[in-house]
Amino acid sequence: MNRLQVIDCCDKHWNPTAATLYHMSHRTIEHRAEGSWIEDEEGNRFLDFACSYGVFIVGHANPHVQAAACDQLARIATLPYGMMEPSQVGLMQRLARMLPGDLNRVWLTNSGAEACEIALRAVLAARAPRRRIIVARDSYHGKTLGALNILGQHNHRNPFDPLMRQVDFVPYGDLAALSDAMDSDVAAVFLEPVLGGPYLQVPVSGYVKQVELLCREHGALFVADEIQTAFGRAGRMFAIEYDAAQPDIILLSKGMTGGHAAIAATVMSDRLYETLTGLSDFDADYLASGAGASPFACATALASLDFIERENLPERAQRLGVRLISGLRRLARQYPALIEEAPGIGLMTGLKVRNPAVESAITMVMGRHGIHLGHSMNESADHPVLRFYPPLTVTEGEIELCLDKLAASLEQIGSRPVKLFDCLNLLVRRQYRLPRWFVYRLTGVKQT
Amino acid sequence: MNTASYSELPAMFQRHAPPYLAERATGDVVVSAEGASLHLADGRTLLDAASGGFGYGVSPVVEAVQAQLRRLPLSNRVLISRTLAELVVELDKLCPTPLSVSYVCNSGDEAFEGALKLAKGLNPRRNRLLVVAGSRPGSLSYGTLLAGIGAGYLDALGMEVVPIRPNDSASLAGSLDRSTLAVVYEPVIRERGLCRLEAAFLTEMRRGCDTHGCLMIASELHTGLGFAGTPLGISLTGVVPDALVLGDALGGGQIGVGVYVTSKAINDAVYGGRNPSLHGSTTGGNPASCVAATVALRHLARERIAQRQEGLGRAFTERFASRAANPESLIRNYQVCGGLVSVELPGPAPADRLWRECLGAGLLLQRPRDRWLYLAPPLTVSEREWEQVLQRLQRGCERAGCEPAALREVV
Repeated sequence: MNRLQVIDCCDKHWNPTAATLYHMSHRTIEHRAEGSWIEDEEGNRFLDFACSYGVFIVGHANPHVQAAACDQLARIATLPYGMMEPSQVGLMQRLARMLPGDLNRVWLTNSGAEACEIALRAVLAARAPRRRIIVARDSYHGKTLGALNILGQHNHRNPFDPLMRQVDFVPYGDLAALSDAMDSDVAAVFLEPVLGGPYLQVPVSGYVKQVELLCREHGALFVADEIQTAFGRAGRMFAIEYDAAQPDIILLSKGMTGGHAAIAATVMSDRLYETLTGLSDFDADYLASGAGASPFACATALASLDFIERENLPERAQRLGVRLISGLRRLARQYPALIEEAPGIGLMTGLKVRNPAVESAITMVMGRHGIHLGHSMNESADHPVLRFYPPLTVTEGEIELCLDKLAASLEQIGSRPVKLFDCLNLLVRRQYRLPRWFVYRLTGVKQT
Repeated sequence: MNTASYSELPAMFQRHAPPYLAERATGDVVVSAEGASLHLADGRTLLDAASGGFGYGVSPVVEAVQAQLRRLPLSNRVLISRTLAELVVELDKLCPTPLSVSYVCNSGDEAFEGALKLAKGLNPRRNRLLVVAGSRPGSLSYGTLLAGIGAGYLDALGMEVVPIRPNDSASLAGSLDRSTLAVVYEPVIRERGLCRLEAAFLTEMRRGCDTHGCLMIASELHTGLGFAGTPLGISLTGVVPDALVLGDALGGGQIGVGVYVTSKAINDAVYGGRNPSLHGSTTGGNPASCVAATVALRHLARERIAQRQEGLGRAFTERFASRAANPESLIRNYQVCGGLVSVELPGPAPADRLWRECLGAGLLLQRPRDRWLYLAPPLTVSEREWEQVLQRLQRGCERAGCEPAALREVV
């Protein structure tokens, strides 16, 4: 199949709007990757600062992780219930050892959303008859139907509303609002230690700890969603370390295998585990995962964690993050009409831009310069954050290259009147509802 | 070994594993596997008649996944994925018209939730789910609720669940209305034995769903890809649902993959003209999993696995039905559908005894549910391995005091 035929397959059998997007934005077909670089089938190379929103912590095709993954595939990749396998048990123990306090009970699942759903069911049982869940507005906890109930991004929820009624959304970073929302009916608070997604926001020091203390005060459980932040992305092994916070449940996923396999974990405290298993009507299948904990994913995660610890990637992320963030902030100051600010911590960084049209323009021009960025895909956000999430193995030279290309891109974009982007934004907000022929004509591509 | 010797693993497992795994643990440590054989750390080999998976170490799949791992295991989600396009074309070939649009994700559980989300997107204000009793469509929140587990806690989800007796068309017709979000079923239900849903019942379901505009969702986590003796369990009756869910074995015994397949009309009604990221996940449909699933599907077709599974059921029947019924026997009856087998015993205690004796004889069965035992061998189990499964089952029966000569075929 050539490129157009592949797009046609995506259109007919997968995701028609994604196919339109591929075609109009001249996307090519991915082929291979190594380190911080992706190569398409035509041999074009791209510096990857998108990293699937933070997955590729140890760099693409990391030889150490690859070898462990291939070796495990050759031995045993999946496991029936009832059997134990060294990598699976080893990963459970490893996570328990790495995490603070008594976070010792490990549910291994296939995705962050699955991990979130385990936590949701756990808190509803452990704190019954309490029913209320509090989450931060704009937070991201996954898009399965169960996880959608506590997703803070309303553009993803609205088409499926009404969902769970007893979910309250409070502004991220606003302790007073959270305090007002807390009462004796709150079962749990779900919180990202750094707000991710297209609303990247680093809280003030002490915020996460204060959330934990509010939970303790009201008898609610504290669930830390570290799916995006853990394993060094935010400059510490776990972002809760900044505040020395101690959650009842922690959710882990994206970086755990360094981008070599899908896996996630819900890790809960011994105390919570005992509460759950002590319930008179507790059924172990209430908190089950159908096909979680495959030895393949576990071995891959163990090798990735070896690499992260051996290379001290959290420290590297913190050190290189300073360089990247200062470069982004310098450019933000240079183009205040386009960029509001450059939030970030560690190598979890971004540009909060004027509007989605500016985000699309920067992404597109950077793509032409051979740099991939983490586009928010969120046309409803007023000021989305265009994410810069390189592998934690990124070099200083690669950061400089990205910043150089960004400077050139902004110079090009900044030469246009800013009102143009406000007008374009009206189209961007409606882009998926526009007729396909119109979109293609507008973007100068031929109809397939 | 990464962190401890094999002898330390059971204690570590009990210390850290969740209860659903800890409770089922046999204490055995697996170090490698191939075909249907699990090689244990103590040198023994267990035959797997429990996983309902694809099979272990199937060369074409292993080699293809290893090659993809070296090239690009996961995508950064900026460029176009050829591997995903190839998989959805393969799924289109597998499924009957009009099922042609696939949502690929990380597990069968996720896929089922995706199908329910599709139903919710179609009729957001509806909150009533009908489920054919005994169906186990998944283990995420709504799958758990539909299986009747933790309903007291999951009422927070705001969904009303109405169980329908299998093959009870009157009950189904009486329960369907304009508040029904979806009707969920498995083509063959493993509850108190095996129960095949009849064509008349499913036809009534199809008609009812069309009349009331709700989604008909078939979960084929346990029946799809050949287990029921046909490429899909829905082929047993020919009644086509609105969404078909596949998983587990789809990953070729290598990687977790799940998918639901629906019609273009339904997909467009929910996701058409909307942001392409309205549904999706970070790792769902990643290149390594797509390669695994594509090669697995081609392998199943090339090796005529569905016919082979049908042969497994026949071999079971021939072996056990030829013996005379013995009223003294602990075994009451058995049922087969393709390669799926259920065995009924007088009560939970004898069922547990037989399960333990089989394990001792080198055969892993699913833990009994009440007085029923289920055999779900991997899809690619060979005839030779199946013969060994039956021999070990026979040995287990003898040790447990259930003389296999007493087996009587009732279906």
